[in-house]
Amino acid sequence: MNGRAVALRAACKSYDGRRVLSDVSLTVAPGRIHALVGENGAGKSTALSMLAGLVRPDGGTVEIDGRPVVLAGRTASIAAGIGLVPQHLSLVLELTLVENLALTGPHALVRRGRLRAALLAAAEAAGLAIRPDVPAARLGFAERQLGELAIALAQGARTLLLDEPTSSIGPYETGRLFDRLRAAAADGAAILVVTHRVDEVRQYADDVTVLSRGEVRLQAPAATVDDVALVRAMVGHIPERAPRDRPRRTAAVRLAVARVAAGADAGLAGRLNDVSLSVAAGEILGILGVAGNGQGVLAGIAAGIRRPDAGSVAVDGTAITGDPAAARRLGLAYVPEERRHALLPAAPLAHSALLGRRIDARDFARRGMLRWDRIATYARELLERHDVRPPDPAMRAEALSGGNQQKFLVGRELDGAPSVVVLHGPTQGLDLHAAAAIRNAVRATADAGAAVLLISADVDEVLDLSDRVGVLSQGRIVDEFPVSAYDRERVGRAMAGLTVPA
Amino acid sequence: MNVRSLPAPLRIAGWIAAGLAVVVALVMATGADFTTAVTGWFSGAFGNAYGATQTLLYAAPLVIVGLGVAPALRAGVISVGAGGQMIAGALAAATFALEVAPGLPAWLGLPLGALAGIAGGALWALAPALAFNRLGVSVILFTLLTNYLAVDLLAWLLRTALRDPAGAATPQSAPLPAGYLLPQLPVPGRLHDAVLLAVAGVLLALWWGNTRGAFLVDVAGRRPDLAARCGLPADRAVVLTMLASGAAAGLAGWMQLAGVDGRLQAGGIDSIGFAGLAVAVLGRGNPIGILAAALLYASLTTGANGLEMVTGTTPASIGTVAQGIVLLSAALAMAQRRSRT
Repeated sequence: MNGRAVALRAACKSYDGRRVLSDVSLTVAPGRIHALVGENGAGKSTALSMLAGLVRPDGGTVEIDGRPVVLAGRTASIAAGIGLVPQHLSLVLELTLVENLALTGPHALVRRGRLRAALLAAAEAAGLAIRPDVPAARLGFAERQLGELAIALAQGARTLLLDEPTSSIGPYETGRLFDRLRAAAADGAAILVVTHRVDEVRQYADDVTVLSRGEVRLQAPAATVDDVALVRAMVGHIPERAPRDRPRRTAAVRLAVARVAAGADAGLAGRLNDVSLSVAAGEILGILGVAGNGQGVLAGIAAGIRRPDAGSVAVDGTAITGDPAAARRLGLAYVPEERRHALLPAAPLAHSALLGRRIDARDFARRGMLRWDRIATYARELLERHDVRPPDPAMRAEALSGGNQQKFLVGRELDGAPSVVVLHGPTQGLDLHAAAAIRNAVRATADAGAAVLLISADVDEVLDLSDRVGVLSQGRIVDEFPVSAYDRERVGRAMAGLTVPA
Repeated sequence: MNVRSLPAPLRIAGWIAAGLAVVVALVMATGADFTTAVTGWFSGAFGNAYGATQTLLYAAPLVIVGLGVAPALRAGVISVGAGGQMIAGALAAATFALEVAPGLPAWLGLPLGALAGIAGGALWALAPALAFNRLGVSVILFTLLTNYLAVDLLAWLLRTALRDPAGAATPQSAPLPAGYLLPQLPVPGRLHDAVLLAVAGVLLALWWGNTRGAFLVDVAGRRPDLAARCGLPADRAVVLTMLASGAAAGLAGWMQLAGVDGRLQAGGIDSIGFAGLAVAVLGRGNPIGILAAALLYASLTTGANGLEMVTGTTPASIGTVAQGIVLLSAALAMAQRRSRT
């Protein structure tokens, strides 16, 4: 593979008069991994989209090997050898990887055998183990991601753009992914990775560019930059951890999940096997595990959204199994992994504010009719209290950045002293600021007496917040211990599925 | 000025005006004089008391059917079964009137007849809702196919169990007993009391549109898990909105039976049901929009009658053509709206 340098030169972009990128230059060089880091809304995705041909710069140019080019859409950028792995993968889930490759191809006539061979050859050359003939829906997230990477390579990509590739996968998959990327770089590929994670920059990147408010704050070979400089360039300061008392050890169990099983015939990600958990008032139980080991199902069942095949769930002693409305009325707060599922993206924020635990509030209706003036006031209060910018209840939810949407959602759910809180990946993909704000809010809620079930792929987060830790592997809780007894070796083995409870 | 920047109602009105221009061109092509044609149209639809009452009489069931199906459309349930539900409602009301309790006085006969109609339509609509929830059968297919079933069931019953004993050649039932017939309003022309239900329906729909229930019905169509958490599971939303559309259509079926036809007849009713669905789409689910769309739609039929009378050369079926063109224009206007977002 002979690589090509792809670059932005003094690129600018504005949306509705708001500058999102100003004068950004960066070069993705062959044989190197370039990390593009920054907080939410720093302009990382816009810069990446420009290189992918999805966004045209208002000023400045995109260059390939030093020559300015105009990339009009993905077809043009694919032809120019630029491969893209978006954060929310673009695979059509009903189709196999081969069929997905055929979809993006330039030819009207699909020659399946040839495409399949090309895909397998590309995957093999890059050391990617893929299953080309299974509908993507049946692959785990990490497997789909590798599939998307293989498709990009099979299209002849010599430049790879990855948008937050590690936001939905666990540490093991992250390591495997970067090993593959390293190999591709060694083979001459030019690679750009958008990420939030400082540790990834340290471990895998050759070059690093830090964006903040659309401007380049730091650009250097990664080896020459220390962690503190990197973080300071990203955020300006490092937020403090809120003080937290040791949990009040009361006997009162608020959330009880008893011998729950689900998805016997589903894939690994959808299966749960005889899981029992109990969380007491004031306690945070963190669930660690490699992504796709049943986390989503466990969160859904604990929140009453999903009915298990067997077993039961109770809040304060009352069964809520498969009854999300009962769970809500008993004060259960729920933040699902996909925040889009808990919001109305195209509707004003006030609408989404109403869709929390205050949906039944009496003061929000008169003679049956909703009082949108009061709901908007409430929404504004929520937005201001949780520092969501801008705090405008008439604004569409999707117009907020991801971090602000998440702060709003967590704020809505934690409002009004919940009895139980179920969180799935609450800070996933967020910048340090937003993540710290959310963690503080979760701690405060637990201190106020809520039982918190925190399901997260972020080991640091789980260790930081939890009183007790459970490890989920292949749909089972394979280990559980107080956080003081944390042992790196033991947890690693448990997450890898090497321990099976007696 | 960019057409797309216009507010939606104006844009739709613009497209409909363009569509009507096409209709005018068609009318001219039949050799009619422009001024005569337009005056004939207006006199047919609104110009005199008879025309105006005919327009209202035709619009009333369209309003009720349209209002009834709107919540289902909001919940993302595409039901095209209003025709079948109207027949089921009329059938239930007629059976109750002729076979169960023929001797009732009007103060009992009218409300019970209406209730029978509502129950008949709602039951007919419950089947597709349950089939969708339990078996995953497409609502649009189920309702489309059971419309034919309703038409044929009606035709069969009118030749057998419900056949007029007086023995007319046309398949029809005996006339309804006097206690079941809707009184006429004291206006020129023929206009039964129950058209007032259309006005009541608009008011009710305006109120309901602002309730928590309506809000959750919207949410159920887009975010089923979220709606379930807020107390309205998607399957319940399907059943409730389908029951509402069936009840409204059944009521409209009873209105046609008790206020217009006076007896059960084959044919005619189900086409009103389909037009009501068109009106709901044309009015974009908004009660005032549905009212306006129903009046427009009805005036196209009655206006075409007036047109035929004054020109002598243009057939009244131009009304049906006009309805088709108006619907197409509205579809274009809305498609334009969608491509923008």
